[in-house]
Amino acid sequence: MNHLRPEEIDLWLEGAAAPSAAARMEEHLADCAPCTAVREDRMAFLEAARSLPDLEVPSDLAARILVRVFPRKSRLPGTLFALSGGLALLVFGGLAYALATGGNLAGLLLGAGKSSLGAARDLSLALIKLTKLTVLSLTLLARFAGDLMEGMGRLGSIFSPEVYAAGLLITLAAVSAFFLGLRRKFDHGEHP
Amino acid sequence: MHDDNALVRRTLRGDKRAFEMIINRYQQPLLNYLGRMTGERELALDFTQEVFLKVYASLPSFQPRYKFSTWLFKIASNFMIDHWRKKKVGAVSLDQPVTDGDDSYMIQVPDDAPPVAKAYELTQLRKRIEAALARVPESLRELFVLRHVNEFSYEEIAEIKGLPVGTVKNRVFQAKELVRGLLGDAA
Repeated sequence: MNHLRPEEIDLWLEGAAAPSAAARMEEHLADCAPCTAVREDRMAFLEAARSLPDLEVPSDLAARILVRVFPRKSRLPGTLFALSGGLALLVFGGLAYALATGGNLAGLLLGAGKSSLGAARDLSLALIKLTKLTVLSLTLLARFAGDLMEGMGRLGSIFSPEVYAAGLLITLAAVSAFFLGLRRKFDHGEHP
Repeated sequence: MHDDNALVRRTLRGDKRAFEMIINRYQQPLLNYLGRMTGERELALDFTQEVFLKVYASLPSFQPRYKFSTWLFKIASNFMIDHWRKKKVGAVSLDQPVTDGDDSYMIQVPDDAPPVAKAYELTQLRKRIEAALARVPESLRELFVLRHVNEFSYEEIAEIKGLPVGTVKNRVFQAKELVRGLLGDAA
């Protein structure tokens, strides 16, 4: 009696044997105790191999991978880089000026301080002027609004109330559409 | 449940969530594979990250007619081969006969085969298989893990490794016999 080969038994246990071979093996196993014992042993081995425990996946593994795949772009380093670069340029420029003119550095710094004070004074004056200009513009705008309201009142007496209401509705719809469009633009971005 | 190809398409369109779903789906089987191949959990975790980075970088070249899991494990398998090359590990060639010590491996005939697996409780048997696996040459261990831990079919393993199905069947069997032979020695 030819016994089954272990590789045949394994393929049959794994469901990878050809149907004709599987039928032949089942028939053989029904009558052969040694082959049945081998089958039991190999089945125990395969079941143990199939059920080896999973290695524990850290809960943040996916997040760690995603950070590497999609690195976050921060604006802060760029801003800091520009600021420090500007500062370094100023210091370097000051030193170069002092060396080139033979002037002392303390005098140069004092001069720079005075210049800064002058610049601050000029900036304050400009701000005062800008405030005055804003107040003047608002006064003009208020007068214009008053005239507009008066004109609208006169128009109301020319057109029928329905035309007037329709005009108001169209204006309201146009303004709403404009703001909705703006909101969509702001909301548009990456998926969370 | 999204299928893999749909997730790949979404990822290629820039959908970060889709790639996160791919990671969540494959991180466990990939870690199981890499963990058994390296024998070190921390190294396997690093390698899992590296493989996913390679997968992302290679996504544009993925062809939907192939199975995504097979393609992913092919990348992982190539990654391990590179690692072994760098470490200069003497991996056993798949074209060479497998040896255990000085003697060529001999397959036992059923009449004489001792019951190596039935002698142990399931938990003990698993521990012994893990310990024995670590002593099996990398190329054979890989085939054993792909077949019996990750449960790929012989055809899928043939595709991952670029080998004929018959060769894969023979080598998986040899790997299995080697592990079974080492069960008694494994603590």
